[in-house]
Amino acid sequence: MIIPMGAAAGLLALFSLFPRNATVETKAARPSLRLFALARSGLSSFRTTIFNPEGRTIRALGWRSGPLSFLGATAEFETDAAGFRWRIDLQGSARQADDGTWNRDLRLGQFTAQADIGARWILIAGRSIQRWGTGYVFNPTDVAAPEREIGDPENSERRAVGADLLKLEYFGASSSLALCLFGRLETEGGLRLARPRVALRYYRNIRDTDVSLVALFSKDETPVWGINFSRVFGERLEVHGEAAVQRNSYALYHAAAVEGATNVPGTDPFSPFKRGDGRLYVQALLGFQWTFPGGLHWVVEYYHRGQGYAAEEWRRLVDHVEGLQGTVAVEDLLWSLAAYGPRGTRRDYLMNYLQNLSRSAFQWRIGCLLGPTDGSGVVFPEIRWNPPGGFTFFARSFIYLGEAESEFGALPRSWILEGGLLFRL
Amino acid sequence: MNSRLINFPSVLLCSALALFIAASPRDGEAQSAPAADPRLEKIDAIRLADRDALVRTKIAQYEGDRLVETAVFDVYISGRDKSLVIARSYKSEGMKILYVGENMWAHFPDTQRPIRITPVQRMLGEASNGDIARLSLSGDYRVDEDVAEDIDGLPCRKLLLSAVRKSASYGRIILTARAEDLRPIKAELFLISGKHAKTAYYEEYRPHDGRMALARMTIRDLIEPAKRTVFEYADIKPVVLPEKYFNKNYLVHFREPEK
Repeated sequence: MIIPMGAAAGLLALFSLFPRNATVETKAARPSLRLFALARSGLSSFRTTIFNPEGRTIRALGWRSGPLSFLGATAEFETDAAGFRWRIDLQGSARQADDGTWNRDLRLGQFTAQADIGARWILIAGRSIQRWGTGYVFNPTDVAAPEREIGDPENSERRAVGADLLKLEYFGASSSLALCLFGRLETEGGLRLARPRVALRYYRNIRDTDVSLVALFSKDETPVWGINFSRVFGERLEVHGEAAVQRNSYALYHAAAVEGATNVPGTDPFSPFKRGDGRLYVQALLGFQWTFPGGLHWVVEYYHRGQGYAAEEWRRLVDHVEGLQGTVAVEDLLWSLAAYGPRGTRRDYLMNYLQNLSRSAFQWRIGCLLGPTDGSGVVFPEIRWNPPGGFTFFARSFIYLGEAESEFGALPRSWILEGGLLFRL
Repeated sequence: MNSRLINFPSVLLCSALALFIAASPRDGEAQSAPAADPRLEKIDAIRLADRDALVRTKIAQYEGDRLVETAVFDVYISGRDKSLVIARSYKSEGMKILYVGENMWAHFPDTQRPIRITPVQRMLGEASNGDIARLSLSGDYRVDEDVAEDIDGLPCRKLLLSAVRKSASYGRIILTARAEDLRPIKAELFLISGKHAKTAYYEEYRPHDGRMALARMTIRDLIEPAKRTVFEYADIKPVVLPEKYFNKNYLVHFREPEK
């Protein structure tokens, strides 16, 4: 971890000297261990070009059709010791590669020490997942969020890895103020920002509306300012929204896409070419949730991102890659979002999500993500069976409806069908 | 600090922040509850012996004579309009639901943030969220009528209650209580639509801290008559939680208090 753990330990020790809550003491809970396992396998049929954002290389692999398999296991351990609540999430996974071999990975998803200081404060040090937004899938104000799977925004399959941070938070009766110092922030798209950053969130419930103001400061970039809200109207409707603004774009663009951009052959073609353009870039989201009788839940969100490739820039990039390789395609829409722009190529999305939240053993959900400006999209239906005993069996499909001129990727019509098993203990 | 931090949007948003904080009600003001009817406060004191308490609630759901599901919840009550429900033995063990005035949030153990929920979202099975969490009548209802009536020779009072909060579980309640001490006997529960949906029977009281407190209640579903839900208030302890426990952002950091 880049956060000096010695300093974090020193702060924790300092705060441990504060008087504890006079009204009620937190209980030294028994150690708890939760196990989560996921196995999924399926078939796919799609054209793919592997774009490796780490190495920034592109190589065409042509059509792919065949099985996809993934095994994952997470152990979540919590205990109280020395006046702190300790949490460790250890994630192991194995993914089947194109050549049939398995790529194994072991990661520390979260590792935190939490101290409750008096009646109103907490301090957290370590690796933690922070979610500050009110949107379901897209969160312009999640300035403290690590990279996450858009296909699993709530991280129910335990694939997200937290950010290394030190967080101090004050809680009032209907307000809170959080201050986070990041040693490393891994943003959506896999960009690793090594420089320290500071994030702030001020939350207040104002006349039954949740409102949060957020800000992110760093030495190398202009600040990000954001606001989000959520409110319930009547018995069935919840409305939420988020907006964030930043001067200049720090997204990494390919030199071939940006007019006038140049790069030396043989060097990295990706660079924040718009970091000095002085424009204000806005991300915004507006959405609602509606609860139907019988537990049916409907979420709709419209998301706009000002940063990322404009349509003509995307066209230039496609022309460039096609000139090199004859074709360009991507694994899927969600993957291409992350891969083609380490800070995101998103422009506009309309998300529909329908879920049966009944307590019965069988549940289903269907989601649909559309790029309204280019007609690309993905539909993902899923059914689940939850028999007693901690098991969940699921079957789901991802159906991609890309267009050749798609701003988000030249997606052919492709699909994935997979089934799997979740186990919680 | 870098000079780029002080630019037009920064100044604009800092100004907005200052106005936002200045214009916001102080903590506590936003959640101020309407003045309570003394009769309902008296009934609350019988239903719930302590104003700030932890109530271990066991719920059994039946269809006919068949036991369908059981669950155990810890319900922390704070005053008339705050409660925090922790699922101890349930499909979503560890799930937390927070009620503050008109606001409701849920946090699931598999997630990293609380979400706002609508009043009709059933997070706790067939029992409504309010049946479990909102044990105080005085915060949610007002008395419209108070009629004396004998039931099987027992002098009673029939109180017609109307919801004063949008988040109240029911639009209207007809509560029958003993005239002698206002101990509730039954409550006819009407939805906002006016439909008589359920009837609650207050079946058992037992001594708690020198007073009588409700120990068992059965709610019968009139729309699906085969269904009934039995609530047992197994354990009531006076617990005063710090304010932060009733802040939605603390849900993800919840640490169990010493009981």
